[in-house]
Parts: sequence; structure tokens; C-alpha cells
Amino acid sequence: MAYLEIRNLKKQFGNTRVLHGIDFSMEKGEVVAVIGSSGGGKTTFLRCLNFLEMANEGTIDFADGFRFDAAKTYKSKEIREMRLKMGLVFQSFNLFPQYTALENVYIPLFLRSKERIKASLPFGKERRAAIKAAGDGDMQRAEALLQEVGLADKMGNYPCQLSGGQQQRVAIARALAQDPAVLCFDEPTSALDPELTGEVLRVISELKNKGRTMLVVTHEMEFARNVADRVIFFADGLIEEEGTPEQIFCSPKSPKTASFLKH
Amino acid sequence: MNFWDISVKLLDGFGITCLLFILTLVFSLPLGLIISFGSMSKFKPLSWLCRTVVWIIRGTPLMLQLFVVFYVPGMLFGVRLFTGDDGRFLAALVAFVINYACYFSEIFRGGIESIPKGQYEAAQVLGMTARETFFTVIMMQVVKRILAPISNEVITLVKDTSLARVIAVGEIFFVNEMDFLSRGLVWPLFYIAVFFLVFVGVLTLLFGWCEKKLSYYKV
Ligand SMILES: Nc1ncnc2c1ncn2[C@@H]1O[C@H](COP(=O)(O)OP(=O)(O)O)[C@@H](O)[C@H]1O
Ligand SMILES: [Mg+2]
Repeated sequence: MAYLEIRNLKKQFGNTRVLHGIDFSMEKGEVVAVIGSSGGGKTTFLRCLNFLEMANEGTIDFADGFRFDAAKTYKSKEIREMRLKMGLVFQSFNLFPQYTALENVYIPLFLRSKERIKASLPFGKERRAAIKAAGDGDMQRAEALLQEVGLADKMGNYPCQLSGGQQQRVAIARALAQDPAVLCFDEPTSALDPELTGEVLRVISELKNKGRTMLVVTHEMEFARNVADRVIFFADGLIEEEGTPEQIFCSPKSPKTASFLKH
Repeated sequence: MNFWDISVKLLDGFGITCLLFILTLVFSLPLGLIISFGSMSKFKPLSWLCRTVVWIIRGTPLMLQLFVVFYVPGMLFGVRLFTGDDGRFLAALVAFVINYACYFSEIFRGGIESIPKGQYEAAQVLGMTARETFFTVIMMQVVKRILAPISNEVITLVKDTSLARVIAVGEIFFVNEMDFLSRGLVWPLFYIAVFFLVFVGVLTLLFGWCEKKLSYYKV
């Protein structure tokens, strides 16, 4: 049983079919790069995995035995729980501008701790103490994560006071905070100036060395070649080809892959 | 009539003006938020209803609305909802609250809709509830964006309170007008202007301070 297993995932918007039945699985600790020309459905794929879009058909099996089945309906609380199994880093960072880097990481984390405590303890002194302790723990975790992405000295800065690369690193720390099983990236460096892409890609490689399972949609072919364990090529809502970086980049089997890589 | 007498009278009317102003804000801001949620509702009949009400209220003169609130219940149903001085004040308050709630609702709606989708999505993937998303992520960004148009409306409200005199609410004009006109006194009119100018000046400073408080970040 794979760490994450997706079967026959389909998505359409109105009459536009975008994903035509994706079969895909990942092992723990694996880093998979997703490449493909624009409009191929890569973003939609990640959004379905994070339940920002609801797939029309198919199943997603998580390592903890949980199964999402598009044929079933879920309550909003269940959807929120499913979302926490996955993390998503956006192309445009989407940090909360009114909060500091540290608050951006801490607040979402603490909200969930608070919810868990409220569900398990009755109103009263004990609960308040538990919330306070969780808050302290979450704060330490947020600080440690920002340190991990190399922003120990920028914790008190607001997003508008950070470069794009720094903002994206905060977004990575924020997504990591709740320890998702799989961290997804949607073109994490596409909105960055070329000289800033390096620092973000470096953070992702470091996360790989620490054993993170990651699914990275990217146009950085160098990165896909050097960092990914496996590359999948997306075309017209299907996985056209997948393999090791050598297979994909040196001897692609599909003519579509070959033609994409020539450009 | 000397300066002192006139000051006392003006202050008396000004008290009513202030009360009308404050109570209108207290009720119309939350009501405006509710109407804006109604206008943005995915439930079409509700959003249609809210938008129609807003269109009617914004499309007709406030003075007309004052008359309607004050006289129409009596004329149509034979019940006099608003009697006495308090009744007149209440009628004016109701009209102002409805009118301003509609204006505010459009400002809120514009503000809420101007927040990029990515903010909601970021909150969602972090497992936040719709409520948490609105209160911890969206609301303060909306406040920052709408502060300038809200301050415009609030300043307009200060001056619109004088319309309440058309249903004989004892605000600053109503209590004093007859007196001055019959005596041929001109300067009290300028004196009234001073009250408004000071009031608006204080509000302008207050909003300037809020804007400064919120300028610690850029979007
Ligand atoms: N919300 C939506 N409504 C309608 N069509 C959409 C929506 N989102 C994406 N699409 C369509 O789905 C296709 C795939 O888009 P996308 O997943 O963004 O591809 P990629 O990320 O590979 O560029 C595009 O043709 C796009 O127009
Ligand atoms: Mg995309």
C-alpha cells in the first residue's frame, strides 16, 4: 500500500473536462516533480488533492487508512480534516499581510490546537491552561520552522517587508507547521525574480534531505532533474509519461514529452 | 438674546444631533454588514432581495424616507407608531439606520469582494473554518481597505442629521431656526457651522489616526 494513492481522479468545470482520470501514487519520503505545458491541469490536480476543488470521480487513499471517495459527500468538518493531511504552497505565496512572518506560521497552527483542546476538555481552568500550554508549544514550533527555512532574523517582519523569496519561505514554513503527509508546491518559484528562485529551491532540497514527501509542480527543469526522485509529465489532463529524471529527460518515450522538453 | 442664551440652545440641539449620529452608527454598521452578506449570498432570492432594497434606498432621497417612516404607518394602517418627541426621534433614527446601513453594506461588499481569492484559499488549506477565515484573516484587511469610504459616509452622516428637522426632530437647526429668523440674527447660523466644523474636524482626526494605525502593513 502506497503512502498516497490516487485512482482514476477526474475533474471537470461545467462541460470542460480538465482531469481525465489520473492514477498516481507516492511513497513516503519521495519527491515527485510534475512538469507539463500550461493548461494541462497541473494546478487543478494539486487543488483536488488539497480539496480546494472537489474531484468529480476517483479516490484518494492516505497512509493513515483514510479514503476520500468523490462519490461520497463530506461534511465541512471532514473536508477540513482531509485538507490538513495535505499542505499546499501557492505560486503567489498568499501570506496574510496583516500578520508578521511568525504570526503567519503560528496563528493557523494555534487555531487547530485550540479546536482540538476545546473538543476534548470542558470549559474551565483546565482547558484554559491547556490552551496556554499549546500556544507556547506552537510558538516554539513556529520559530523553529522559520529558523529551518533560514528566516530566524525576519520573524517580526510583515510580508510587505520581505522579498518574494523570503515570503515564499515563510509560506513553506506555514504549510509545514501542521506536518502534512504530503507537501504540494504549485510553481513555487514562478512569481519570483530569477535571482530569488535559488533560495526557495534550496529550502525544498533541504526538506527532501529531512525526509519530507513532496509533490512539486515546476518549470525549473534543472530542479526537476537534480532533486526529484521521479518526474511525471502532465499533458491534457492525463499523466502522459512518468519515470526517473534520467528516463524523462534523456530518453522520453512519448513524442509529446520529447516535444515539450525541446522548448 | 445674548451669546450665552444662544450657546445653551445650540448645545441643546447639538446633543440631539450627536445622539442621532451615534445611534445611527451603532445600528447601521452591523446592519450594513448583515445586508452585505445577504447581497453576496449564494441563495439567489436573498441576494436579489438585499440588492433591490439597497437600490431603492440609495435611489431615493433620505428626506423622502424620513417622511415615509414617520407618516406612512399612520396613513396606511391607522397606527401612529411614532408619537411625541421621542417618537419623532425614533422615526428619524429608523430612517437613518436603514439608509446608512444600505450605503455601508455596499462599501462592505466592495471591500470583502476586493480581498484576493488566494487569502481564502490559503486559510482553507490550513484547515481554518469559514468563521475563523473571516475573523482572523479577512476582516482586518477589509477594514483597512474601506476606512476611507467609510469615513466619507460618516462625515456625510454628521451633516445629514440636520435633515431630521423635516419631521420636527429637535436637532440643532430645528430648535434654533425660528428664533434666529424671526429676530433677523445672522451670526448664529455661522455659529452652527462652527459646531459642524469642529465635529467633522474631530472625526477627520480620528479616522486619520485609524488609518495610521493600520498603515503598519501594505497589501
Ligand atoms: N475554476 C475553473 N473553471 C473553469 N475552468 C477552469 C478552472 N480552473 C481551471 N480551468 C481550466 O482547466 C484547465 C487546466 O488548468 P490548470 O489546472 O490551471 O493547468 P496548469 O496548472 O497545468 O496550467 C485550463 O484549460 C483552465 O482553463
Ligand atoms: Mg498552473
